[in-house]
Amino acid sequence: MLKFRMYLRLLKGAVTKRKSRMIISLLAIALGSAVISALVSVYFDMGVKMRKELRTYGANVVVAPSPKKDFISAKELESVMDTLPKDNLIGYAPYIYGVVRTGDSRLVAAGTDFTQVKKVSPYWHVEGQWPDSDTKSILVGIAAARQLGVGPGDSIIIMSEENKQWLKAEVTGVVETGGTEDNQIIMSLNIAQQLLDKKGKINIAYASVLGDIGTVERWTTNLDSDLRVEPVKKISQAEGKILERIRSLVYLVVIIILGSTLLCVTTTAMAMIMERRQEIALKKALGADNKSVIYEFLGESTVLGLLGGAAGWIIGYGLAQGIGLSVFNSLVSFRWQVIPAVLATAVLLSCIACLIPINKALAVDPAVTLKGE
Amino acid sequence: MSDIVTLQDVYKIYGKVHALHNINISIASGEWVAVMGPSGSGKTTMMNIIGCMDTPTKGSVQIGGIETQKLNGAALTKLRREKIGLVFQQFHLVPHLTAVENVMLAQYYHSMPDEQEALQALERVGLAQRAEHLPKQLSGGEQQRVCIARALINYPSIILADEPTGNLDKANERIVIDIFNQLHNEGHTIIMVTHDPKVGQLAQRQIELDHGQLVCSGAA
Repeated sequence: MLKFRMYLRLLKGAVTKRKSRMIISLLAIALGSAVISALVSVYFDMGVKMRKELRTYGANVVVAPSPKKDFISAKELESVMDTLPKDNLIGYAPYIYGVVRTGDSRLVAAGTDFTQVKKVSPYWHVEGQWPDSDTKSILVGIAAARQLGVGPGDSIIIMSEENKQWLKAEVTGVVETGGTEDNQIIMSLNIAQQLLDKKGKINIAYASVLGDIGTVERWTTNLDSDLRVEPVKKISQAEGKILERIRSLVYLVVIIILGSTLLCVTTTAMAMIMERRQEIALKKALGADNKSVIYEFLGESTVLGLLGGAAGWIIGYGLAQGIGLSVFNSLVSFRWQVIPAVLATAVLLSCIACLIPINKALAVDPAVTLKGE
Repeated sequence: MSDIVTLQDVYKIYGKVHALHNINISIASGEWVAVMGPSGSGKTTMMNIIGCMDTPTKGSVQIGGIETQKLNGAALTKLRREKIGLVFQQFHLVPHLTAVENVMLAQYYHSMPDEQEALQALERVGLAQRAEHLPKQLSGGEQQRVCIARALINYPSIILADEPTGNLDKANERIVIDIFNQLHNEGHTIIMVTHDPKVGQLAQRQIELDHGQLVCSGAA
């Protein structure tokens, strides 16, 4: 205990004595730790935030009938979607399709749930207003609207080509998606099912599910259902690639930061050892063996690492919030796991940085140094 | 009395320079020996070899019956820690430690720091009231007395003092010499390098070196 108290006194003296050099090392470690802490905090959140962000680009899972069937029932679709944790499911939009005529034009009519479409395909651009569910209001794709010469507020007669049923619908908006919807007439699911005489039937459904491609694939593979539930690989893989690239960038930045911090702390520690040669020589003359010298310098490095790491974590947490707000428009969550990770990295970094200087300290010859040569 | 230090046919050679040339000395336990000679005569080299901070190129050195040339660095450090107390001309106190902490530093590397014992050592050199002062708050004489207290704290068999009065004024030189007298009377073995013939005459024996060779070894 007394020995440890003396050890602490020596540490305190060493840390407080050379304030300017210690502050340089401390700043280097704090800045390095701050960047690492910020990147690690963002990195942990990035997957979730990026996936949420990427989900605004459309569905990543498609649900189709089994090869033997032409349609999905609403019940079947619901039972599949119920197997997903609620937090993972952003939404799912069922579709029924049929060919209709309006005037002389032959078009595809789609029936869907507009509330779900807004969640699954938030990129749809509607000029005018979204129709209310279960009403005879419709959206007309931009190309179809041009072909029919209609716009918001107009009424059109739509007739099913198959069963010759018809309905008069009001165009509330013109939709532009950049996809096939631009050529379609889009109405509420129930209305379309009635018009096409396909009550309760669904051709296909698109779902937006949170999670990387692995998670989505695991879910679709493990499903016990007759339906064909498959990830939209193009989108899921693109998501994976973007995340992978960002991760690689984070690793690269962390390695560069670690390297530059290591260099700065090593240089400062080398200068400090040169200044302390007499003190080291004296300790050796008094009987300090190599182990004692190593313990003392590693102790100083640990204190430096802990102080720098703690300061770095605080700065880094603030930095992470800044990044979160500017990139994802939301705060980065507090994760306690980042604290020990940053502290351990800072201590390790500080100790590694001291290895060469410690070697120099061990080489100090007390006979020569104490004589002032 | 038995010999505590024995140098037999000791050489220390740096390239073509013989820092020590065929040195044969025996120092008895409890003896006070003054090592004298001009600069470059090999005094410091000899002290470093006796103090286990250096090893001879040739010859045999025994400290307390242990042959040092067979020892590695760690064993030499241990021997120095156990048997030798060092007093330096430049005092060499750790600037951020107080007087008592500087004394405890020798205990720390030797065995276990004991503040009471360190205070007693300071009291012995008349510095009990300055125990909590930093080296920069002490005069040269006081710093040298802290250095002596530190050298004594582990009860060494040999006290090696390199020009202990070299940086002191007359008054402080007197105080330090009195302490060495007292230590000698208590039976400590003292080997002291000095340029000052007056200080040298206080020793029981003077060893004079010149160009690395022993010129004379006899009673003061």
